[in-house]
Amino acid sequence: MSLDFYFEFLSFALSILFFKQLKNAAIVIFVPFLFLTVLIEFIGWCYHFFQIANKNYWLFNLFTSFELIFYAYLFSIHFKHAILKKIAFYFIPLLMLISILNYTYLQGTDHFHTYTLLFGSFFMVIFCCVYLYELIINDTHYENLFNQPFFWICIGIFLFYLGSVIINSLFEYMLSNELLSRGNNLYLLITRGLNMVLYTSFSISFILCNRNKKTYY
Amino acid sequence: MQQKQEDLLLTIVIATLFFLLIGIFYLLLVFMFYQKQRKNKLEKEEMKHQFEQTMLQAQLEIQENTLNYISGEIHDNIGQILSLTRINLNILAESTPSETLNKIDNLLGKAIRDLRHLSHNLNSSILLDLGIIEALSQLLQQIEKTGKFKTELIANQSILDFISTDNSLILYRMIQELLNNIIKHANATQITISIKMIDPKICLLTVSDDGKGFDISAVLHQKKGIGLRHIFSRAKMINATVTIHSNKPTGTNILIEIKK
Repeated sequence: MSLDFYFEFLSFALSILFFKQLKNAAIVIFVPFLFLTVLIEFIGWCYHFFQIANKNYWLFNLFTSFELIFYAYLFSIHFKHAILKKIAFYFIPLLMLISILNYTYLQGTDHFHTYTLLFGSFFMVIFCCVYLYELIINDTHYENLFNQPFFWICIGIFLFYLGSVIINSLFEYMLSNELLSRGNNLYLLITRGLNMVLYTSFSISFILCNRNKKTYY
Repeated sequence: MQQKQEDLLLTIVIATLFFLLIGIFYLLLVFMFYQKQRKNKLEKEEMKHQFEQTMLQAQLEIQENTLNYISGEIHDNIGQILSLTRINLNILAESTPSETLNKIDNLLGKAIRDLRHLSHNLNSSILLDLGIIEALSQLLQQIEKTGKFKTELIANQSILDFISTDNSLILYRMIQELLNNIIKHANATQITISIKMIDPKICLLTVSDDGKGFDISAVLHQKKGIGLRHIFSRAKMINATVTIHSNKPTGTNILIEIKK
């Protein structure tokens, strides 16, 4: 198991631990989501460890699409402006469509769906920027930013997708040609580092929910 | 070839770091802007609060001046006229004794006494002369004299000495308003004022009655609840909090917590 898995697991454990505080908030849906994340990572690891198959791309392709849909749904809840809510909500079927088209006509089953991921990443970064913009123009909020759980979730998503754009764009190229070994190492290093940032930010938001015991998320 | 690969991998690392740095910079900008906005909003709120306090203070000063003026007029003018009327009436009664004249004399006497009490209640100098506890005691005695209420004051004479003269006047007016409400609306027979220290820094003043109680939220949302709203705004001015416990059949307890 890689180090980032423990960060994921810690985040899941914290969501369970503070379930009582989370259950009245929208981010309670992180509990099943993180359970699924940990499960997928574990299955992926089993595939690799027991050498069940050469590639487990199908599993992560499905999960990546689901993850993007999940974040888009979260943003659709947290946006304040009705149009933005609609954009985030309509992004969900659009991503599904892109994912199916990619699967059928472009990258198929034997490749990691980088096109879907890049398309989703672009929107995630935009959603994060828009959410932060909404946050700073809001007239009624006086809370410290660092005390707001969804702010931390937003930071995690923002840095994760922003940081993984380049490595995902060059994923195919890096795993082909002569870069296979070192490219793979670099890919793992960057994605695992970003994963740690992402799940740490989730953990912080769960701790904040417990500390605040308010439902402004 | 090896060099080319290394260059490519290095470019990827640098570009990723560059993207992340841009992201962090953006987040920093957001944070700084947000903090600035927050500071401005809090300052605006503070200014608004101070303005409201000043307005309220000015309103209270005007009200006190008006009340003192009315009190003076009642005492010095109307009171004098009624006293003169009574003297003339007595002279008339000596020359032509009559039962009706006696009745008129008694009624005039009552009117003069009532007006004197009213004048004292309106005049804030009573507080300066007697202190708030004694002033409250006299206020309750007057209410008891009507024969409709039993009153009780449970307080140490010096318990409210920490309050400034201005604040004690505001507190006195608040209690007057509460007592007026009890007299007008509560159908009560017992009125109690108790004052005690519940903490070295907090004094609790309770005004309670055994009347019919009232629906607090309904009164506060009606236009009729102006008196009650004034009590809340006055409490704010003297750094006090007001809590109302009212049960329809068992009466009302109004708790005023005054911080030292």
